[in-house]
Amino acid sequence: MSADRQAVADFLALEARLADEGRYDEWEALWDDDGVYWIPAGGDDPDPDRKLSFAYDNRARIASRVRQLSSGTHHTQVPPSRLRRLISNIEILAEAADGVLSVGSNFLLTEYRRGALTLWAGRVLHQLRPHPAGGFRMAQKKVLLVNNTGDIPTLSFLI
Amino acid sequence: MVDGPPHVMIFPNLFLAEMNILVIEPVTASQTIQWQTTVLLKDAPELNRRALRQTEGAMGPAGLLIPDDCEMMERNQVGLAAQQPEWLTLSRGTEREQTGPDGVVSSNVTDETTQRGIWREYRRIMESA
Repeated sequence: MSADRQAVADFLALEARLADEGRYDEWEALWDDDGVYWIPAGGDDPDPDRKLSFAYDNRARIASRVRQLSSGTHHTQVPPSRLRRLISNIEILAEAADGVLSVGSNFLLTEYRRGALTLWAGRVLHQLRPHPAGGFRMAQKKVLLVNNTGDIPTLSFLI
Repeated sequence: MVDGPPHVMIFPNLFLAEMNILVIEPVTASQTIQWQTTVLLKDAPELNRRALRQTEGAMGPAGLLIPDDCEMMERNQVGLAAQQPEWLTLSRGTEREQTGPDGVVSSNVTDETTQRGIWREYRRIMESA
């Protein structure tokens, strides 16, 4: 496989850092025009045409989410969550003919807000499209929370 | 649907909000579960897709509307716990309420007319039990 593992790992670390630090515009710039940000509910692979997800954002909805989160008036983020996540078990699972990489990774994320520490964990499946200027653009980010068959706390940040 | 936001609260705990059905289940004095789901129509896949995406965008834990409401409700609970003053008043808009010929009480959309109605009916039922 010709894919550059280090470039993939660097991209995932960058995306995680921008999300952790609430650098919304820079995070949004990592998306391609057809990007889908999917956080399934009720299991890892429900049919989004028939079942509710925690989020199933097309590119326009990703933009509205970023606009809302960066407005400074989103009550769930006043004060904002302090976040740090670890990414591990990074694997390039497949490379399509057009160069798009399917990448799997696991994450552990700690959120601190208003005196409470919340632990989030799961697996992320990225579809990464190589960009002419270097690096990648996200065509899909699918976040499989370990607890997605149950109820989850407010998720008002980029996971 | 034509005259205003298509939101209907049906006593005691059924709430219809656009394409969503909500059931409010009180658990304890400080805990309430709000069950919510999307209305899906037969043989209308495109409309159903839009309704699901709208529910996610507004109502879910990662939505952009209800989580903000929940945050304010949590802060209300914190404020109430201080018990200063001891009582929560639902008096907003009492001075501008109007009773129509059909007996329906109406006021400004942000007034607490509906909350007063719910608690009056609750008291009537509890006292007659």
